Amino acid sequence: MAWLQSNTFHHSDFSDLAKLCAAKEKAGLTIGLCIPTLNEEKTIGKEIVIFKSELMDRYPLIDEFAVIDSGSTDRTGEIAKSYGAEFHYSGDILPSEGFKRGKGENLWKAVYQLKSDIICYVDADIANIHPRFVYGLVAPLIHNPSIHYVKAFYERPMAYSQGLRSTGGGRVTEILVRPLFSLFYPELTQLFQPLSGEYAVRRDVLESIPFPIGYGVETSHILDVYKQWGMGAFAQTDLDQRVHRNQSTTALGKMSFGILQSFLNRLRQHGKVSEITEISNIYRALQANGSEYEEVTTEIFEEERQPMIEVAEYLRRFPR
Amino acid sequence: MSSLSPTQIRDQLSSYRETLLANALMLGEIPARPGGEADRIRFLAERFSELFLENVSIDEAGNVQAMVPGKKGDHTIILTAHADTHITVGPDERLTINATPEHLEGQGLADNTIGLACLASIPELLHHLGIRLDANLILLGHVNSLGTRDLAGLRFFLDNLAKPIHAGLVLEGITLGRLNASCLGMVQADIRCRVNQEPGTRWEANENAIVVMHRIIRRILEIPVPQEPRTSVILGSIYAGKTFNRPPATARLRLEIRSEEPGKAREIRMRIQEIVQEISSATASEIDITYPALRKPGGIPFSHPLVTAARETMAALGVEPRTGPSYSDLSVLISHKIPALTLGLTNAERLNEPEERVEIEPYLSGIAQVIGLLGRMDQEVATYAEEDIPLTP
Repeated sequence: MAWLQSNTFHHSDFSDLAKLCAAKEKAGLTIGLCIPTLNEEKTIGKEIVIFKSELMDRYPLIDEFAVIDSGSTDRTGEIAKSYGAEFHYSGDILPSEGFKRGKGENLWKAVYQLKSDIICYVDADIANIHPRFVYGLVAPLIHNPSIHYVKAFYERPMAYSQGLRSTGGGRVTEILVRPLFSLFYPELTQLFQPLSGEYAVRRDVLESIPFPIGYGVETSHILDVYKQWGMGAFAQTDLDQRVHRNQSTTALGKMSFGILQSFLNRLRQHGKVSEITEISNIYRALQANGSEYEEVTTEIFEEERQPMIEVAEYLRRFPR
Repeated sequence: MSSLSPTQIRDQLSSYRETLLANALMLGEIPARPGGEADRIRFLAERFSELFLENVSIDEAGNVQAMVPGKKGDHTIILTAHADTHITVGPDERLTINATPEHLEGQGLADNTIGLACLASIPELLHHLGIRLDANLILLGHVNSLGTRDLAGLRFFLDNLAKPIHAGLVLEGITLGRLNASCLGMVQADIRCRVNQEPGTRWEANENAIVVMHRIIRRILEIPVPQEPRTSVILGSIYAGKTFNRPPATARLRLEIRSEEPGKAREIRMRIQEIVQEISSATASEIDITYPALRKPGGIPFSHPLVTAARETMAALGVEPRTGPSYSDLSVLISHKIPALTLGLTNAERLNEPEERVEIEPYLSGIAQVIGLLGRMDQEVATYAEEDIPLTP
């Protein structure tokens, strides 16, 4: 478990922002921030104000910053623009590739839209946003050229009826992903929260890996990076608390279904299993309504975007 | 000092809107009940240190202080804001502040996250605007201000400061236009009553603390209270009993006396003390009265150049001054013979509710007003000292 000791950090290790900015300048790196959104009017204003003030105006850590949206119907766009953020509807980016609805789509489009050497992704639903959510993730990349992909982990309180309560990793991580990693990729169990939505990655990695557009994007990223670059490419940073809305068990079931699709696909590609019969795209749940029982089905198809480096327009924008 | 007018200052502040709001958002999410402000104070100390201010320190009382040195440094102006709020947060709860284009939303913003955020922002704004004062500017975030804490942090600071302060501004979140140059005399009284209940006595025969406290209240309400100069006795809270049918052994009454007339609050306090002693004796009950807060009335005259400067600065920004006496932080500055004012910074709605919100655009005017007035004070503070204008009364 040497990796766990050497590649696990705490955000307070990097809280001297003047020093971090000097190291970034010395390394000649640029950093872009992407916030993927879908109806996040409650928290988006605060995120933009704090990141812009603390990490652009006060300390020049972030060079560019884009909110990439899947088609919000609330005030997300209006609020983002009012605080000077670059706001893009995902479908307007790389229109020749069309538009698919999903967080992974927004993350993939960010690789085209942003120009920086490092892209940091931060979800928009964080109630206790703080600059550490960015500097804690980009700092290991600035300081260590052999690290390519930095994941966040948290003491993670989940809102429930009367307030907040702490848990360890997310429920899907502990019940689904950790058992799967233990079975097939034991080294990856050193990641505390492989599904966290906050991570910073070098462009040369992001452009080389496919992006599932739905729930499986984080899992497949980890498996692809691990396969190509090994465990040494990863680092993880403890960002302390992250406060967000808790999801229903039904929603977590759908998320697990999507993650399993991506995981099984990777198992097949990595030759970890000899044969998997055709798998279904239909998630089936049951519900009781008095004495009436019915099946509720949802189609969840983990479609993938190809590695950006295979897109001709991307190569024109970022010539080799 | 730069020659920027208040409106020019306000126009330029728009460029720093995110900086101003970020301070309010981050401070507002740090809980700060009276006596529990340490995290907020640390945040402010870090902010001041990042800006390379002088003498950044946290004193024995827990206040944070820093100084922006003046070009001449012959005089000293103090800018203060209390760091505590009335909001208490449980271990499983957290304070959340959100931003829309028009408002900041969340509890505790008005009293006094916004005042404290303004204090945090002023040195950076002075730097950005190219404003360098001749006078030294002390920035003070003070603790233990609210309720029975009775401004303990501010008192400690002024009681122990070796250097003279020549003028001061107190920053309060609400309401823009607020202009307090004087403060009411104020006494808070806490009356606790315990009646003798014999063991084994039937419930209906037992002494009842509510009845005794009722006698006290009735007698307090008979005390003549003049309408002019304005004086009032506010019965603030009463606690007694737990059930429908059990006479309580204890009762507690908390009240506040306010008066513009020197000595009046003290006179009423002495009268209430007599009433308490009399009823204690008559009913053979133990009744104690304590005074968590005592403040003397005082202030600077309406004709004081500091008041004139404030009114003119507000007028330049189109802000209508709302003058009147205060009974908060200002009283401590006044009692130390420091000519000072309290200013409000913005407007608020749904006060003390989870949906409390403050307006952003007026906040920019509120800050422009503070910076504009600091400029005027810097020019005029020498005359305050020379003329030695007497503080009323």
